[in-house]
Amino acid sequence: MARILNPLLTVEELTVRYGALTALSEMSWQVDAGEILGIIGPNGAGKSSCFAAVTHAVERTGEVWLGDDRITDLTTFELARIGVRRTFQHNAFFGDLTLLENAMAAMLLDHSTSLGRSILTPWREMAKRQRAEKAATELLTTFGIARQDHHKRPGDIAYGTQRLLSVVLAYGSGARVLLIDEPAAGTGGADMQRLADLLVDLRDRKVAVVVIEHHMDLIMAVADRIVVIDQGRKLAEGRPADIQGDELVREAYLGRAA
Amino acid sequence: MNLAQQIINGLVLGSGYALIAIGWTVLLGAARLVNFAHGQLYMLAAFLAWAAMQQFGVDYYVAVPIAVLALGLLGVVLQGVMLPLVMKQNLTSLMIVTLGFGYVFQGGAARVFGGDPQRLISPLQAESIRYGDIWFTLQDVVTLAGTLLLFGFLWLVMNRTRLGALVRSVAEDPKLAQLFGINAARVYIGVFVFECAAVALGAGLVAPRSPILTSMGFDEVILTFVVVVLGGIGSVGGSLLAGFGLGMFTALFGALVSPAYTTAAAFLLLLIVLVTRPGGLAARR
Repeated sequence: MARILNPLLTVEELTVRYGALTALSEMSWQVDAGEILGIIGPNGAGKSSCFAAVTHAVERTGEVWLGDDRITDLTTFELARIGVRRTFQHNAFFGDLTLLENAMAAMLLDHSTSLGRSILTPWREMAKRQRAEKAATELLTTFGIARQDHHKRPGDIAYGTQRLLSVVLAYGSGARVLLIDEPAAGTGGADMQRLADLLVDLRDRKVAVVVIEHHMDLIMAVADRIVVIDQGRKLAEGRPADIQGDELVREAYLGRAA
Repeated sequence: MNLAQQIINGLVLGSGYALIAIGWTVLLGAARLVNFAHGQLYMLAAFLAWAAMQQFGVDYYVAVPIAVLALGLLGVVLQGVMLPLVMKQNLTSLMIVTLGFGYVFQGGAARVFGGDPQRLISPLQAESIRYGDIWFTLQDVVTLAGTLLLFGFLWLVMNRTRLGALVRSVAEDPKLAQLFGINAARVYIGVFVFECAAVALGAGLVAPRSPILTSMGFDEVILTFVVVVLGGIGSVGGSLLAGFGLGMFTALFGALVSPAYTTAAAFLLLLIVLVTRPGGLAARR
């Protein structure tokens, strides 16, 4: 498979072992800014382990590069700070906070006041808090979460919107690489279309998007390239049309799933 | 009964309860973590201040900050040891571990400081203030003022600063907070250091009221836990309210009924509150 020139994120030979089980074996792929890379494969193939390995949530060997910078040894929160973030299969937000407060929390490091300033110049703290609220409102509305939902808690909004929210929060004040784990799980119809629109919107914002997804029609429609994983190994890589035509992939995954 | 005096006593007792509980309140609110060594940390701080005064002849005003600093350092060490458990939120093991620390501190303190009751003597305790038939000491005034100041400061930090927002987000969901770029491990250490330092300050201000014993930790744990739970897990305002409430209750119950049954009655009160308001006093209904 041809390598892209100067990819934004490069993953080289990532290997994850849980005891005797090798969940991910010498996995390599790249994704560029403004590109959607789909990752597909049967259940237990190592797709989520792949995300955990990139975000350093598990012990792994191999290398991860952001542009020319080696980011292999950064911790999860350091990666998040430089804009390499992931979402989970389950919804991830603060259940006790409103959507707006959640969005403010996601942008916490950019919009908050230090202790000294809060004491010495409380009016600045107040102004900054208002700006944070404005930025949070903007973040939610630009990604299609209606204002009437902003003061509700995540549990009180539609499930499809909750899925959307998890991705929007991970984007926060601007991610460079987003690893999105089964965004459309449990959704269908209009909700799935909104998620597809969100993924395309992120691509237009020059985010490098990596999506794990089981909905074939969604992934085939939005992905620029697809990596097929089976039993922890890369089985195939290519454009959606090529993947659909690949006999090996059909047999290992599409055929088995059908 | 002199009602005005009992109300003063209630305020004085209550400010002490609230002050000693504040660290644990933040710990429980921020780290979803209990620390059953809390009372022994109180004891340790009181004895460190006492030893500094007795052995090295330093002033009360120097001895208390020394105890606060020492306990802060101890907090770093303790949390360093417990961090793997904390990051995994392994609460059952943490309960046992902190209980274990408590017994180690108690044994160690008995070995070093002896089993005799001692007095942490504060010059402020000797300054009594009288108005008609009510009286209190300057120590009481400082404790009350210190408690209100510390709670006000804490409220400001928790609700109006980046630090507070960091702590609150880690409390909600440490994994998610990390994905938002927050160093959860450092927040946990910071909160634990605050707990240790705050209980040392509490000991410095409250311990001069009565003789100190190396075995007094467990009683402190129990009463503090009542305040923390009564206030509503992790609620700063709630624990202030609960501290004063318990102080007032103890003073009035002691005067009207009998001091001997105060603890039993306090627990009865806790039961009633928890049954009628499961989230504690500060719960949103």
